[in-house]
Amino acid sequence: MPTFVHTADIHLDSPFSARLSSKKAELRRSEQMETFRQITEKAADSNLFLISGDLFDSGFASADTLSFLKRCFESMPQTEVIITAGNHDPLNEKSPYKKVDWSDNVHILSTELEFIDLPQWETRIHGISFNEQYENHPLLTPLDIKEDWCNILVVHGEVVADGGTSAYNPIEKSYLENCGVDYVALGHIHKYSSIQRLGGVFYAYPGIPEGRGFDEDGDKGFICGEIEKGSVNAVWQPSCIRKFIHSEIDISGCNDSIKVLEKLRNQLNNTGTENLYKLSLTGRCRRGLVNIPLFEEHLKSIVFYAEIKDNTLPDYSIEEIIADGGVRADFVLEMQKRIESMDEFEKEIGLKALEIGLAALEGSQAEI
Amino acid sequence: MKILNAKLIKFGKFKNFSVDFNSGLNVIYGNNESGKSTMQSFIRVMLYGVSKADKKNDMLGDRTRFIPWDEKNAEGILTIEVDGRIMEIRRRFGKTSAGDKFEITDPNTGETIDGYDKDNLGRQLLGMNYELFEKTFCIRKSSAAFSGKDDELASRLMNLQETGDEDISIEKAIKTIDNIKKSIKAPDKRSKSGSLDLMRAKREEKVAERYRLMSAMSQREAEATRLSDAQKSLKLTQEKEKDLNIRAKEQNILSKMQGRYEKWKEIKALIDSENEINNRINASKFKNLQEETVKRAEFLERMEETLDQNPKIGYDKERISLKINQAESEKRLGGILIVSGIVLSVVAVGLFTFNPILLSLLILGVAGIITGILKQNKGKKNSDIFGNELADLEKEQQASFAEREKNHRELLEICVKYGVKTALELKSGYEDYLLQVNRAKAINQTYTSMLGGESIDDLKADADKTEEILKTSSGDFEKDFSAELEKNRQEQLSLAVLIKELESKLSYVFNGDKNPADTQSEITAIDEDIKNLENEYAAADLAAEVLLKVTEKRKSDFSPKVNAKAGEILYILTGKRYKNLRISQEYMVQLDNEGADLQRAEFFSRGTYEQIYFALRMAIGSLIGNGDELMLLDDFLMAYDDTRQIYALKLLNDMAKERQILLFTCHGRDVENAEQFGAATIKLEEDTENVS
Repeated sequence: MPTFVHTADIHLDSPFSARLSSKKAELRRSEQMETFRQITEKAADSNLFLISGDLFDSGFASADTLSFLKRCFESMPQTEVIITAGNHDPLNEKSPYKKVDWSDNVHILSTELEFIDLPQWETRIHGISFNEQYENHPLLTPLDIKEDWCNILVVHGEVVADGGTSAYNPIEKSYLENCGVDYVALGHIHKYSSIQRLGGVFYAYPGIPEGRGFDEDGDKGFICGEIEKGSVNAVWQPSCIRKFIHSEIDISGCNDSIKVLEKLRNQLNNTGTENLYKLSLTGRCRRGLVNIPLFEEHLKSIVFYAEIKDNTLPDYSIEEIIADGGVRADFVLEMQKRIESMDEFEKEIGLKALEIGLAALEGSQAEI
Repeated sequence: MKILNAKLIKFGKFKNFSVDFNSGLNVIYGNNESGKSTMQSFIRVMLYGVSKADKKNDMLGDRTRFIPWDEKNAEGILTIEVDGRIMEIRRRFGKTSAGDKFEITDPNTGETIDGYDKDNLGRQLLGMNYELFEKTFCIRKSSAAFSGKDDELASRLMNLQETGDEDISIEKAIKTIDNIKKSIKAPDKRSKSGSLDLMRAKREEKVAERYRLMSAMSQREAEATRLSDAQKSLKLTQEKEKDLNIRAKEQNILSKMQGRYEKWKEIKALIDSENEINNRINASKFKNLQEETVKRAEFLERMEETLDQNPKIGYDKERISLKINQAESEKRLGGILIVSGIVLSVVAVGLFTFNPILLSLLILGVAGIITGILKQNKGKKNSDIFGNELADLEKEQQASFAEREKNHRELLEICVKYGVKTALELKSGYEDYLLQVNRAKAINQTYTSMLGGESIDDLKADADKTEEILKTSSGDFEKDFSAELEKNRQEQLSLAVLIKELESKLSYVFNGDKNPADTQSEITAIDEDIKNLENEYAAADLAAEVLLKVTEKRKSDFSPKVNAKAGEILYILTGKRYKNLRISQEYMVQLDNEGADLQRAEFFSRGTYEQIYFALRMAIGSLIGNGDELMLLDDFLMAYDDTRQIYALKLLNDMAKERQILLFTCHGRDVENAEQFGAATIKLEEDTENVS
């Protein structure tokens, strides 16, 4: 029964949503490759290496990346590499998959549903590649299951409730449940789904192995294990070199910027300075204490990347302002009335408007 | 709330100084340096706690100012009455907050009163924070209102009228927000670009850059494809060159060998036909036939025919038979003649008559008998001779027949052996056979002479080689390879140039280009910035809008009330001279003289300004508060003339029926005049500091 490594959504040659310098972006891109290389090391000890799409971020793959991948796959002649293309790297004429003369152990499944038989492990692998960026209709049809053998389905797509829709190959849950395979190696969702089970079918999204932005935060990794007829014994392994981390830091009680920096530094030292942070300053503090450019400049030398957002509230009390009456109270009351009827997004603007208005009123005072 | 007593245990210049206050108007009189300001600060600090140093305004913190130089802390008790309940506020301030103490007790029971917060006490007691209290119910001579320029004063009055706070200028606030907005987005094309405008421009640049990089990348890819195509073509062309060279060489060899190959082909054809003939010869039934046999057969056949026919014997037999027949005929004629002669002679003798005729008859008869006898003898003799001759001939013929039979058998034997019917057939077959043999010999001779002594194997080896080349080559030996090779060389040259060109293009032109992914990242970041700036702009816009709206509302709700109330107060203060107060957007303060036209503020005296200011403050105070708030006034009657000073004191005394008013002054006339209205007066002496 075959052992396997399952990864997806590597997005090689990807842009990053963090504000990285081009040097750091390049470093991150090479780290993406390094992470992939580490996964291939594990895969080299397994029978199957399943890659469920979006290996490339786009049709543009650098020559460096292509030769790297070719070498990776060549280095594991004993491992069968099964790839299905996803929405980011559809298998059309311009596809990077077509630009390389891959080694014999690499199987890039076509845009027609097909299967590969691996009698040495009594395993049949089914799969289909994306042909277009969008696949609004299900790509999957009933599979030609080989009874008594392990059956695996490798595909990129979005699992939806029955009747649900998706622009990325919708896969209904009832299909999964009845497709007859032992394991469905999915790709598309960048967050690890855990190993799920529907009826006798196990399925999982391994998630992206190396995050690219704060929408891909936390630990990232891949799945490895063993498949037997009717059962899957697999674990998820973290693989990422750096993590994207959202962190909230309450700076209430800080009266000077050095104290704030101390807090920031402590936080980063606790969670790892190699990571990338989106720090949100919260709590109440006096206006003017938070100096984002200054703090970010300070952090540059101690953490790989950090961006800071000021979500602190002013240390004055709205209640007091209202109680004091006057134009400020009028302003606050009117703003509150408006904010109440706003949605979440508008509220943010509303609160900011409240602050700007109060600061302007206060500023007009200070200037005199 | 009322202050009953202030006990300054250790506070500024005061030590163990106690002063009682009345419930109505209190005039606190003292010369400069007598501690009036310290007293006011004491009340503030006791109620609101200490304030920090304000470096911006170059002010020392309360702790520094009020802790006596030889003490570690400042301390005091303020006794107040709130809703009929008396409370003692006791505070002590150290140099840091660690040394602070705060306590409120009921002096009657000595019990601590809970529920009050040391930092929030003023608000809890007065219903407003210090700033508001200061702005509404404290009126100081030191107020900036009277130190600034006239237009500033006007704007302060405007602020008072619009916002109820002389320091809050809606106009300035709106302007501040407008500046924020302008800093984000230029209001029009002539204005300086805002950060959002710049960001959007930057985005456009980045989008263009990304487009450029993407197309450069496509171009690069296309060039890379061209390069690899060119490299492939070059390889193909080089292979073709090799091939052409081989073929040219082959052509060369072939041209030499073609003669031999052709010769071989001819010889081969000869050998083939020789073999074919030989095969036929070998298979021929005449293979072992000897010429003698043929001749013999011919002879036998001829003999047989000869014997068969033998004409001489036949002729001889015929001739002899004829001669025999003649002899027989002579015999028969002799007989006839004898018979006929006898008959005639008898007939002639029988008749005896002599008659001549009869006699002739008898003579003729007798002559016939004699001739007959003669003839019969001769025929008999000849018949015998010829009969012998015929018998000889018969014998001879029999011998000939036997010989023929023998011949025939021999011939038959030969014919059967060679499968022919006749000797002629045998002969023609044999001749045909010989012809083949001769042909084979002739062919052999022909190619042997063609070989001219060379070994046939050598020729064959050469021919085979040539044939092999012919088989593997594409043929076409007429081709001009030198032209093709030249063409190939040109092709290689231009491909090499193209490759060089593309290689350098790829390594120089495109190298160092940014990764489009990075530009995409930058665009994403810019989008985020744009979103933030747009939000900020929207927020500023909203703030300005709301601010304008509430101002409008205040203008319609609040300002008329303020004006009306201020007019009332002004009416009293000015001895019924001015009643209606108006302040326009242009900061023009207008008052109407009774019955007269509106008068512009610049014509007013300093004193009148102060009275307008006071009227506005009082009006706002009356609108904001409940009317019973503690009021602190600091030397504010300074600029009033004697008449208006009295009006003012009277007004204050009237107001003090509802609230406690502390009027600090350094002018004796204030004390004197206040006393006339029954106000309490407190005198601070130079040496009050030591009162215990």
